[in-house]
Amino acid sequence: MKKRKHTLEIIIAAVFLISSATALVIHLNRESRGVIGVYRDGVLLSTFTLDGIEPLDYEVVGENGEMNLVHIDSDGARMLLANCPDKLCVLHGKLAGNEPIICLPNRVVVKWLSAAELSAETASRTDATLP
Amino acid sequence: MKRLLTALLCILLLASCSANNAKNPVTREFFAMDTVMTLTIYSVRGADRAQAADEVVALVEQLAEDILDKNATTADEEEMMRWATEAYNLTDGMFDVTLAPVIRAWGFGTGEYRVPAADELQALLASRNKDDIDYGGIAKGYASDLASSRVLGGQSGNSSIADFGGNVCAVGSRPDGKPWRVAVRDPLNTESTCGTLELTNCAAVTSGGYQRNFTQDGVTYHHIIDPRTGYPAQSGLASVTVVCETGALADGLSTGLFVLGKERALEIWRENRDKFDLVLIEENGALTVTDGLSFTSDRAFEVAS
Ligand SMILES: [Zn+2]
Repeated sequence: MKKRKHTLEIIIAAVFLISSATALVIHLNRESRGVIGVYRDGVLLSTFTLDGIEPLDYEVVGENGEMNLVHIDSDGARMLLANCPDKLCVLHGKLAGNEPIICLPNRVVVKWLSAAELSAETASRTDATLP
Repeated sequence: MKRLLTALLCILLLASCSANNAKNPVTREFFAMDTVMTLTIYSVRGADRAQAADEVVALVEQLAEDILDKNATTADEEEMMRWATEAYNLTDGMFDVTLAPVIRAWGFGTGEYRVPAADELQALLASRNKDDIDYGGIAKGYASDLASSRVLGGQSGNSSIADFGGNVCAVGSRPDGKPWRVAVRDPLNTESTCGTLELTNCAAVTSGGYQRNFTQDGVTYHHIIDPRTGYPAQSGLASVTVVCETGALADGLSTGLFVLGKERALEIWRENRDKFDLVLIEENGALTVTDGLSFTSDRAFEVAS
């Protein structure tokens, strides 16, 4: 009897742990759907908040003449132009779903920022806080 | 549960930050003058950033010890007195280092909080003198000035930011050449901030009643004492942020201008706009920023000119 009670406790604890782990994964993967980030070489170059944004073209230039032109409007983003050999990024079309636009040759990525990336970005924008 | 999530989130964030930051700064966190101090150095003259960081820590610890032992070198004491006098003159005497016995009577500094009797406060105010003074009101700002003048600054290309218990000292600019971004805490909701200042080569200090206080019989008493009454200042301001070249002056001014209130603070600023700039937050939440500052906020604010 005593042993069974113990087993029950372990099950409850396990269910709790699994559900909290799932909650965490969901929390981290939930993309804000409102902010797009443009990366080159894994470094976040710029972020764009779509709410009320004026359509714009953002140019990413690499050291060896790599060039990508990202078009951003309130609907999302797409790769307008690129001088990469395969043009897969341009063929990707609109940034939709969770699939980021990737230009492998030029090492450029356009994606929705996750909540975690967004808060890291906000934190990195501030160097100190006056108490 | 929420705490667990936050902790895990922090770990993940830290891991992702350290992975892609090639030019990591040298950082130090240490405890001095009753507060946590942080130092972040990107570049410094002589190029040995770790050695520079150690020098700053040693410098501040030595100054803290000297002040505590009333043993400050004549040069340090003269400098602190000079800035304390300037802050006194600029704030109609509302920043006053001879207020030390009154502040002690309230228990600020000692932690033994109490509400002194009115006649006790009057007696203490009347007997103020130059033999019982406390540089605590400008010591942290002065420490940041020393760090900047002796170790961190003095050469273009230097880049570091020090936070000595809310006395921020920005040397040069960020390594990417852009100004340092310093957030101003919201005094009415201290969990959040109410805007961001862009700073290069200057000091910034905030004084607010929320920073240190105690509650007795349902009344909250804060640590910024009005020298005219001996009681905590009630000027309608919730916090005053001063941006200025000198940390010690910013430290003293933020206290004195808090006591004076918004209208007088802005009057004094108009006569001395070459010396400092202000962010004023009133108890009703109204935000006023003087026009020498680069300030951004997601809420409305008034620009004083
Ligand atoms: Zn491509």
